Amino acid sequence: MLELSTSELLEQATAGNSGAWDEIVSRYSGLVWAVARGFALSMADAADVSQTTWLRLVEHLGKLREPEHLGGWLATTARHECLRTLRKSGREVVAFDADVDIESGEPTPEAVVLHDEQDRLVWLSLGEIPQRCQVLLRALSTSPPPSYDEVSAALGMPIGSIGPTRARCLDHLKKRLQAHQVDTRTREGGA
Amino acid sequence: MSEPSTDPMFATLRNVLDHADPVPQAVVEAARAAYTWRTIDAELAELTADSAMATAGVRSTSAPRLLTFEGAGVEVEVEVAQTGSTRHLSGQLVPTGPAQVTVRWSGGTQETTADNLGRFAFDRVPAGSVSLAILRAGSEQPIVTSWISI
Repeated sequence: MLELSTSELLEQATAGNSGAWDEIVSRYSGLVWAVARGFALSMADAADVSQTTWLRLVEHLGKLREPEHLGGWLATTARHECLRTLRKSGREVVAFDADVDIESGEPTPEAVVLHDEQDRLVWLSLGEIPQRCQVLLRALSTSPPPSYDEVSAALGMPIGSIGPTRARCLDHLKKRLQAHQVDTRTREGGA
Repeated sequence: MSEPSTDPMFATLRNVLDHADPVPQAVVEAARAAYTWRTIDAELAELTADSAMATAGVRSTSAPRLLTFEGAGVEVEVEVAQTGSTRHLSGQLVPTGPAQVTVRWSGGTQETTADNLGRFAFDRVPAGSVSLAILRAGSEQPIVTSWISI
């Protein structure tokens, strides 16, 4: 399918074109997943949040007020659903706005697939930075790259705050990496 | 405003996340399949209250969760009790009256009738995303509730 705008895709999906729906899913499933996992949900809970988010979109087909902001709508819906999931299980997002590192960076099974030691440490460090930084950096790392509008929706934070927060979050990540004895300068060539 | 991805750290992060935490294929497939739940002729009753979102600290997690959906001139109150990986739903329709009620989830559906007082119940609904479809007696207009993870 040629590059259609999200409004056009939504229009076609609303009219019954499942190919347009599949294209919407491939465009935004990464962003929805990034939000769910950024809130530190388990794989199972993240899968539920993702599915509820997509089913919400199905029920709202033809009813979105700003179809051009579909990505923001999905990110907002996913974020709300994450908070709901955390609260119903008695967990809270501990000071989502706090700028403090999370000390419980437990190694997760996913790290097993990272054979490169430095990649493994990046993964470990990502789990230790403030929660909103995890959401922000994961969202910004999705492909296709999200707009600031979508990132702002993922975090529930004004667009103007994204730039400065992004800079602070990168600092947090680099500091954690350094704490793990990684010289971040050697990583600039990419992996 | 600078481009989000100019810092080389993002190339590293993208690579790490692609390997360590990609969107599971099953999640993508479920998202595609969500489209089959499209209901063209139904009115939507949206979630308007969720006790899980009440102020933390004053609520016990073992207490049943209360959900309220409103729309299409009807209010649906649902109490969700948790037993392991299944849920028991007890509901109340307002205004009261009999109806066909169906609970829908990714893997199936369960149907029951609401009594004259608008009360209905479902046992052993799997945890995950669910929605109710309601057809009130004497009406031809189905109502569906917002999907929600229970």
